[in-house]
Amino acid sequence: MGLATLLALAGCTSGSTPKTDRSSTVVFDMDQGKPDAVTNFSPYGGNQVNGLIQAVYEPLFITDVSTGKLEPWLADDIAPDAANKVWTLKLKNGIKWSDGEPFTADDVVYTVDLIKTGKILSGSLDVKDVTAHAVDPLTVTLEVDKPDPLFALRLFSTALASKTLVVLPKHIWAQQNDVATFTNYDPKKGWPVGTGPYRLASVTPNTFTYTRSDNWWGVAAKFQPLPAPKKLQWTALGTESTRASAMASGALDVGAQFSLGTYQALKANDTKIQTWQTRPPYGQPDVCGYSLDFNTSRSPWNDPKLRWAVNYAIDRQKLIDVAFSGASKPMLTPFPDFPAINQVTAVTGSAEADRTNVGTFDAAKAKSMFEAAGYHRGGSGVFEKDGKKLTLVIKNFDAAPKNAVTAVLVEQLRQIGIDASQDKLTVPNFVADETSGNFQANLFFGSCGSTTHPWESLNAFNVSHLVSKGEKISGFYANPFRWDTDNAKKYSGVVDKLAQVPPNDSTNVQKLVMEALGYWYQDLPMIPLLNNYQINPVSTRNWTDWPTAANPYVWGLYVSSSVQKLLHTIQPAR
Amino acid sequence: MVVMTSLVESSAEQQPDAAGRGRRDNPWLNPMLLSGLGVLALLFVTKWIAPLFVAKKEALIGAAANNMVPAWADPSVTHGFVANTGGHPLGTDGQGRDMLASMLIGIPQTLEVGLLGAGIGVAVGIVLGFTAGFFGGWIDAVIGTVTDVGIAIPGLAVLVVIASYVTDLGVVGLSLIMALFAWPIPTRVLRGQVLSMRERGYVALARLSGASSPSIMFREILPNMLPYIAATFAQTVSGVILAVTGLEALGLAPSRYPTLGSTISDALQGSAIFRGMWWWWGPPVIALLGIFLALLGVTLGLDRVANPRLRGKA
Amino acid sequence: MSRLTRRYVLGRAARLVLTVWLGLTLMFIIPRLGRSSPADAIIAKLAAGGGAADPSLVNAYEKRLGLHESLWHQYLDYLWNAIRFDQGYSLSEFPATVNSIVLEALPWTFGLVISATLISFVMGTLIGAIMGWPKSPRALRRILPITLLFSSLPAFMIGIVLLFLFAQQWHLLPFSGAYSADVVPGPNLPFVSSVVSHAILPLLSVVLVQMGAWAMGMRGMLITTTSEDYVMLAEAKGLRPHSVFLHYGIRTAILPQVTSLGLALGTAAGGVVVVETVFAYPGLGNLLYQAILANDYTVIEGVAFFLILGVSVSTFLLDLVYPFLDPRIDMRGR
Repeated sequence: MGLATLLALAGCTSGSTPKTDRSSTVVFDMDQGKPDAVTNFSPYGGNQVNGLIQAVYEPLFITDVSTGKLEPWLADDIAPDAANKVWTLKLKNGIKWSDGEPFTADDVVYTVDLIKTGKILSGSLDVKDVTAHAVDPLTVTLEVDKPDPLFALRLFSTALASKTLVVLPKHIWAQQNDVATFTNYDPKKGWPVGTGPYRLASVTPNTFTYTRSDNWWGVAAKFQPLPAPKKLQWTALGTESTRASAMASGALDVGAQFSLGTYQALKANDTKIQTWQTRPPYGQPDVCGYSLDFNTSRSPWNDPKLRWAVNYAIDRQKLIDVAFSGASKPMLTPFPDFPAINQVTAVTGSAEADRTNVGTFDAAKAKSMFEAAGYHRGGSGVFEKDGKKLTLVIKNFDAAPKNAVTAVLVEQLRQIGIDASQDKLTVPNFVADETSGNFQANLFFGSCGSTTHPWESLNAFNVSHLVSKGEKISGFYANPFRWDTDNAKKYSGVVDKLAQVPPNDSTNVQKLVMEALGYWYQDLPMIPLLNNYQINPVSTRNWTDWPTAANPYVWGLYVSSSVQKLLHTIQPAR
Repeated sequence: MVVMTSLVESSAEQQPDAAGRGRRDNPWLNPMLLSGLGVLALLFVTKWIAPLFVAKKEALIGAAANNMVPAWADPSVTHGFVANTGGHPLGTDGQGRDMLASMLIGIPQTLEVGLLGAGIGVAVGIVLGFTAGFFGGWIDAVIGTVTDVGIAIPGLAVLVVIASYVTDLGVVGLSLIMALFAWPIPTRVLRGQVLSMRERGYVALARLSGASSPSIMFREILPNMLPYIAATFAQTVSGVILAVTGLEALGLAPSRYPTLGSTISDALQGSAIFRGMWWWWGPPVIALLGIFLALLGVTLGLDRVANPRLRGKA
Repeated sequence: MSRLTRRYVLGRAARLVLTVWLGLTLMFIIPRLGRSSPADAIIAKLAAGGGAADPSLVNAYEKRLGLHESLWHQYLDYLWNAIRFDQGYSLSEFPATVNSIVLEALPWTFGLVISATLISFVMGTLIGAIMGWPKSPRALRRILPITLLFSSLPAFMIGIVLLFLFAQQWHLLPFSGAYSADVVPGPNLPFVSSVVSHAILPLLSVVLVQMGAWAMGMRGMLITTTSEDYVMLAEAKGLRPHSVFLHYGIRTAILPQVTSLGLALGTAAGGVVVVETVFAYPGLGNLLYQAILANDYTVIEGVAFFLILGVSVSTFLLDLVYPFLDPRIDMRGR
């Protein structure tokens, strides 16, 4: 009886609730399925990708991922002096914060200085060696301690959300007693204040709503007309089924990171669903590929021959078939499948043969390599040496695809005779083990970083990050492999040289990349496994002109500052 | 799990009929109890029978093609399903595990964890509950406080800490962890029981005749409490299985071979319901339903043993 | 009533304080037994975007959060903070304070848990009463046990099936969350109806599961009660079955149910973790789960404080009311 009443009540209430006008609202899936604390709206806080950096704040440039070029947005130009030491940043004229204050060079200088103090969580923005000066209201000089031809990529690329400098309004932040605890949220004062065409309108525990501000600076400055959507929402809907159902019913326009099966079911029910490409692997390449990251300082896996043997024991196609139902591609280098990278890393010379070897699945060869290293199969079929079993504990942390890849990998290695197992950790425990070197191998994204230039991924193996045994490294991509051989030193020398080559000198960039890869393949500190393709479905039911592989006006990830360009492009469906 | 106690707690208010019972209508042989136990036994022996039908490795990830429909179903290609190639009567899940093998391995394992975890939990409950109820006074207060604390602190926090040290928990490890959460409620329930028993005539008589405390506890009270203990046990098994399934559904406590909870967890993460893969989420749900109904039968049957007035009533 | 002696009440109060203190102490120790330190939680946060965590930055945060102090110092701070209801900053969602996070979640869990427990109590007790009363219609007594089938399934599983039916297939109810984005929180009809429609599915999944236990308990009690002498006497006196049912049967049988209800209300918040996760319901359970995974000591402690308080206070109140509720005393005094 009570239930019937409740249901009846719901029946009328859901009828009387005003429905969101979908022809003027775009609804995005919140990336993590849950917002950070709903009072924290710093563009350097946990909610940054829930609409803040996409709609409220604007980037200085937007990266064209397919060419690696920076397109002007708030800034017009960034150029180095002859020594690649002093970079000059030119801002657009007429930019205003949403509270009417002008956006100036002082704001840029203030932001760089603030990040330098370490008082805000600035992700991977590295400005320790940068000195910023406001030359005039529209000009900033940024001086680096030593020549750095890749400097612009370090601060102004939007290919990775965490590597984009988001400029803060000095007139608000400088007034705060303690910027570290400043939440940048006060609806009465109109905070957060950004330059973007949207303002935060309302916050519920699961949904952030932004409304268009029609006096956006870009119209008066003749930069761009107003974007078409009047309202944007980022909403956390929970499980993948729930999010997929919401897409099918038209309640959600952009989905984040769907599995292939769910995408297929969605597409089968709703022809208005599309994703980055129409053929497998459907999604767009992610910056991070799956890899088996060894701790090369620990016996027995400090032996490159054993790591190569493991590599021959891996059937990548089977990994792809089981963990991604066929929708991925093998990864054979430390680089992601990004167009600008693929151009400079199209492998040539001796590295080509190594690359082919990495992609080879040869169980017999793997076994003979273990035998050559003194291992023999014991009674249980497991390799032994001096009475000790050959074990390999592979650590990872909670995420469905990572678990699947690890589980299949474990079975493949067990078949060859390695006593392999999976150790699934919570994120902090994984961080603790990865940074302190307390692991044999991790199933992770060891060479993450490169988007338009190969240096970032290669630098993840640089001996310059090394710390002494027992000490913690400074982050995920600071040589967690503890790779410290002669090859590693030679490799790092080449990588350091690469950092000094202007990015447009593609001949030299390519030459150095090949040289570095030569050392890298010899030691194989990390076994590259699979590229990662993110399926972020979009619905054309309410909005059209989404970016696709055929029309890649922005890279199809919806968590970066380049979404500004998307907002100015999409149009309501007829 | 907590609410489940209401059943036991309320039946705990009732007094057992100490009078001798006729051999002919032995209350232990009531159909509810027998059918419940029968189903449980049947599910449990799959542990030994299963290997005759399926190879254990069929339940491993990637054992066969992903998304294979059951033998009698039509594959929907647009959904990415694969036609049945034989040898997998219930089809495969989204990661190539044979569903039949997963069930035949998962059911006895889930039951084992339930029985072992509840067994340890109830054993601790008996010791603490009896001691508290029988001696009363400050001993009762101490045990009562510890029990309250045990109920109050969130078990999930403890589990995650333990899991951070152990790579593969296995049946025994998982059971021990479950026992950590399973003892407080039996302790509380049995204490209440003993408290009411203590005042009964035969206990007083035994005291007067100079019997020692342990002797009274174990010779006089324990036998009379057996039906309650058994009912508490059956309920605790339910509770443990629910808890372990929930933990596995949150993605904690992973293992190479599937359990009912991990199958549900995989099905949830793989959006099985949305994708229309009923053969993925259906079997573990049906299996759990079977287990819980059997346990319910056992509890109801034991209720009748403990409470003669229930006999002959609907 | 002389039953509540001063000594008894004081004893129980002391036990309440002791329970809370022991619980708090355990919740101080447990997260610290884990393998990773709060610094790792901070680094995880810093490194989330693929960045490096400058050790000096981590040190600065540890200092701000008081983590450089000795364990004893931290423990005393922690107890003092608990007494003042101020647990400082969250580690993983800094600079949000634990209070702001917990207070955001608290009303949702309270609303969900209290209403779910009360509804399942009422429905379950009613079903149990009908099943247990010998004079209720036979057909009803045969059909009702079917409703108890649900009690054998995990609540989150039921929740998912409900989502599939009500949200996806029939578009009757929303998928998740606590209320929709286009209503203004406050005492207005659109907001209230939005909250209600969002709460129905999580509520229903909990109610369907919990109902069964209440029904079984009630049925058992009722069968015992109806064979008691005074009920037989009432029947023999020729009282109408309905009034015997209401005045003697239900009244007596419901007392132990009510005592269980007190405990259930106190402990239920910890039992809806998975349900809240499935429905992305912004409650304490969901919060606790996320905090545990992130090893966010301060939030874990903040949530646990409320859970511990819930259990201890409900036990304490129960102990105080129990002397008044004993069915036998009640009836004999009449």
